[in-house]
Amino acid sequence: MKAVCWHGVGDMRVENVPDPTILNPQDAIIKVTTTCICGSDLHLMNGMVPGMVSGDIVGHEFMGEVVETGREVHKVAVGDRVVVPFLISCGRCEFCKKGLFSACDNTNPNAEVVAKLYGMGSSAGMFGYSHTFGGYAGGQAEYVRVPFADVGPMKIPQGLSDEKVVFLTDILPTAYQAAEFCGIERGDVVAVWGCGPVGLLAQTCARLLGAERIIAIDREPYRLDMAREHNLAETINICEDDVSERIIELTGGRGADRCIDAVGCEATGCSAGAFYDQIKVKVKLATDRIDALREAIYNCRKGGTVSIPGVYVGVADKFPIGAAFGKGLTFRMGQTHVQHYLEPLLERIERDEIDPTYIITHRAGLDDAPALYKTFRDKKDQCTKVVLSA
Amino acid sequence: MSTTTTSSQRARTELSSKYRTPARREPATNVGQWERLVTGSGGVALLSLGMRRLPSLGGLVGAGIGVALLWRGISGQCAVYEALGIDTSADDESGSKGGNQVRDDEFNGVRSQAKVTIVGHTPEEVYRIWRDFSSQPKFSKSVESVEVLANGNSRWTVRTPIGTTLTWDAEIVNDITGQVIAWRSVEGSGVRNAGAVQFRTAPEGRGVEVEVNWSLEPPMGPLGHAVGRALSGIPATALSVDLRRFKQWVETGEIATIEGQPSARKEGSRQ
Repeated sequence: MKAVCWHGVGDMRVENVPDPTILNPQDAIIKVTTTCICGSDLHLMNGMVPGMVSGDIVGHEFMGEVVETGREVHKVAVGDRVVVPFLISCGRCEFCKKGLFSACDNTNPNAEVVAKLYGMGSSAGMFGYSHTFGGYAGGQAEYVRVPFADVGPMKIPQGLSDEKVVFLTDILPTAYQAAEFCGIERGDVVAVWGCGPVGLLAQTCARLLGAERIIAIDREPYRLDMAREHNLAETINICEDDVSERIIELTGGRGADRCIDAVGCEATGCSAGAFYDQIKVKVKLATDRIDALREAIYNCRKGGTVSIPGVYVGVADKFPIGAAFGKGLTFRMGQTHVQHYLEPLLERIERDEIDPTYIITHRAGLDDAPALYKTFRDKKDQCTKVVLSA
Repeated sequence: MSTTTTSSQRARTELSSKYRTPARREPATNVGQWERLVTGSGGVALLSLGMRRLPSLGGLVGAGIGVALLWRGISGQCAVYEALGIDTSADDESGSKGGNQVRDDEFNGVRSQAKVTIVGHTPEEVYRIWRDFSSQPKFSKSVESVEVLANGNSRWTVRTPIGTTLTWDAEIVNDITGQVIAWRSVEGSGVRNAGAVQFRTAPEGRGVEVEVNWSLEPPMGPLGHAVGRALSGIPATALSVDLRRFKQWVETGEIATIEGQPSARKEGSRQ
C-alpha cells in the first residue's frame, strides 16, 4: 500500500510499504477514505517530537471502512464506516473508566520510557506520532491497523460527507475540549492565540459554549480574515499591533476572561520573548518556545482560565509563574480525550450546529502529501487545512 | 494512609525475616562533588544519545544507564562504592563522615522492586492469574518458559538483555490466596534468587496494588556483587516492564504491540 513516511527533519515521502495485518485480537484493519495533515504533524516534520525513526508511517486524523476485524472485536464489523480517534485507548484502565482516554495506561508499548521522561505515568499510544507515543503506524496511508477497535472507532451514519466528520478524529474534539476547559460564563471574553485549524475551531466552539466576544490572535492576515469571517472575532495581528494594549481596549481593562493557547511549542512570535526563545532553542538550552503561552498568561484577567490545546513536548524557560500565581489563574491542558466527545459532537454536526469544513483550504491525494506538508508549514497559498483522499 | 503504610511495612518485615531479604537500607552520599559533576554530565550525554535511538534495546539500555549515572551525579550515591565500602565524599569540605570504612554488609543479592495498580479485579483474581506460573510467558518479555514440576516446584527460564538465558528451580515458601506468593531458588538448581509478589487492595476502590520484590545473587563473589549492583537498573527495568505488561494482560486481555506492523524500513532493520 501507499503511505506517507517520515525520513528526517523536513523529509516526508510517499512510499510503498506492506499492508497492515491484525496483530492482536481486538484489532481491526481500516481502509482509509479520508485523512488529514494536522498542525501537530508539522512538529514531527520539524523534529520537535523525540522518538521518531526513519521510515515511520505518519498521520493520525483518518476515517474509512472496516475491512477486517480480530476475533475479539464485537462493536464494529466489516463494512462499517468509522472515524478513528487519534489516541488509542483500552477502555478498561482506571483513566479510560474516568473518561480520561488520553491518559490510558495500557496502549503505549514504550510506557516505561515515557514514565522516566514524565517522572511517572505515561500517555496513551497514538497513531503515527513517534515511538514516544507507542510507535503505531499512522493513517496517512491506504490501510491502518486500529487496536482496541471496540473502544475508539465510531460508526458514522450515511448522508454525512467525510469532510464533515473527519475532524472528529482530532481537531474538533481538541478545539471543543479547549473551549470546555475554559469554563465559559455568560459575558466572557475568550482570547485565542493561533488561528490554525484548532484555534479557529476553538473560537467556533467557544461561541457555541456562550462566549460574548472572541479575540483571535495570529500573525497571518489570511487566517485572521477567516476568524473574522467565520467566528465574528475581533482580531489582533501580533506583528502589527500591541497585543496587551488591544486586549485592554477590548475588555474594558479587565483582561481576557479565558485564554486559549492553540499555538504550542513552536511559537513564532514577534516579541522580545519570542526572539529569546528562538535563540535558546537553537543552542539547545530549551526545547519549547512558549511565547504564545506567556502572552496568554499576561493577558488573562485575575481568576481567569488558561486552556492549552497547543502541543508542548519538553521543558521551557521564563515561564511567568509569578503572574500566574499572583492572578490566581486556572490552567487546563493535555491531549484530547477524543472518545469522550465523539457522540455529542457528532450530534451537533448532525443538527448543523457545527460545520467545521470552513477551515479546509486544500484537497488532494496521498501522493501530494509531501509537497503539501511544506505548503502548510510555510503557510504558503493561504494554507490552513489539508485534507487527503486515500 | 497510616494503616496502609503500617500493614505494608509489616508485610515487608515479615517477608524479610522469613526469607532473609534484608529491608532497604537508607542510602548515604558516598561520591565526591567533582566526581558527581563528571558522572552527572556523562549521564546527560548518554541519556540524550540513548533517547535518540529510543525504540531499540541499545537506546533503552543507554538511556537507562544514562539515568543511573545522572542519579549518581545528582544524589551522590553509588551502589558500587557502597558495596566496596568506598566513600570519596569524605574529602569534600563538609564531609567528615569518618572516612573510608569498609561496611559490614549483609546484602546478599541485587534487589529489584516494581509496583503497579490493576483495576476491575479483586486481589484473589489477580493472585490466581499470577499463580498460574505457566501463563507467565504470555505477558512477560523476560520469562521464556515456566515448567511446573511434579513436586510442586517450578523451573524458570529467563532471557537476559545480552541474549543468554538463566534457569533455576523455584520452591514456594509462602502462598496466601489473594495476598502473597513468595519463592526462592532451590539450592544448587541454578541462579540463586528469591522474591515475593504481594497483592493489596488500594483505598476507595482504586484497584489492586501489586508489588514485586526480587533479589538475585550475582555470580563471582564480591566483584560480581559490585558489577551487579552497578547494573541493577537492568533487572529493575525488566521487572518494571514485565509488571506493566502483566497489568495490560489482566486489564485488557492483550499486550500492546507494534511488532509486525508495516514501515518503510528495510526488513530486519530497527522496528
